[in-house]
Amino acid sequence: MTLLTKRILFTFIVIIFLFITVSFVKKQKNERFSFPSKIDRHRSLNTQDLSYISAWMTFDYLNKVFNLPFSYLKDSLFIQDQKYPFITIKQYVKRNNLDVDIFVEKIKDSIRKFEKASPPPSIHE
Amino acid sequence: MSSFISFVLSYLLLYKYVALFIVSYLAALLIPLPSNTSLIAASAFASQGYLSIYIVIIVALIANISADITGFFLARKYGKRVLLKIGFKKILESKYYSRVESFIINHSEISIFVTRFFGGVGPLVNILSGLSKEISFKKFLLYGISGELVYVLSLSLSGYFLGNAWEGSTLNIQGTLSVIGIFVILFFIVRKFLEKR
Repeated sequence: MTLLTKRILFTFIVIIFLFITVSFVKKQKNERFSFPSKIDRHRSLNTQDLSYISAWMTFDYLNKVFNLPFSYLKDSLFIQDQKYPFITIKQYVKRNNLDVDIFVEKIKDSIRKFEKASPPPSIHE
Repeated sequence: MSSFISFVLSYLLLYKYVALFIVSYLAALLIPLPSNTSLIAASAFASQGYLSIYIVIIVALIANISADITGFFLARKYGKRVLLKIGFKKILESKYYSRVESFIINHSEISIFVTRFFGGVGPLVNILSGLSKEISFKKFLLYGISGELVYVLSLSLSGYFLGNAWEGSTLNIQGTLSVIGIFVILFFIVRKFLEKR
């Protein structure tokens, strides 16, 4: 097999690989699909994404992805744990003998209140 | 989501790249950890601005490649001696083992490259390649790195573009990876066919 044939075959397999990956991602998430030119443009979450919150997440992560001030959740949920924000919801709930589902709902409510008070800028602005 | 995966994801959020490195490295050494899920999740966290996608890709690549090299060298240096000591003599001297070994020697390129996509098979091929003196380290490294590059890029880019929709799509991504693996196998079959002509 010549070097040229090898290169053609290799290019062929790379194209197939890229085609499968791109078409899979497009199919899975059509409305949010973005090409690598936007690779540094991060998508913050908002009140529509509240169902994404799970007990394994840390307060630090929630602050970052929902664009919350560092001590917003701490103050609104009266958290006094010294490990905040580097503690998961589950760990915090366990330490304080709270109910996970109720506490997660409280977090969602707090985020809703925050967004109502300071709505994120519109996409069209 | 299982509580074990939740536990691993918590550590990924707490210890970020260090946790990603440890999970990827240990999983590539045959320790049952959810490395695919961790990589997809870390990439999704990167799409939300919590981690950097470039660092996620680099860390996962370094972890996987270094685990492959570790498996290969441990098997080459101590493999047969240790396996004989711990009671694997019958297996090492069996016809089945020599058949598997000769398959890997004859199809080393395809077996090293493709098995990167199939979870627990990759580490086994690393060990078998290390045990067999006929596969050079240079060849192992070349096909190992190529395979890991395709594997890490496909998982991390899928996770990145899926963003917070990653949770429901992990199984589909793994399915897609298997399809890619099958395409690679087809590529090598076509190549062999053309060589014979």
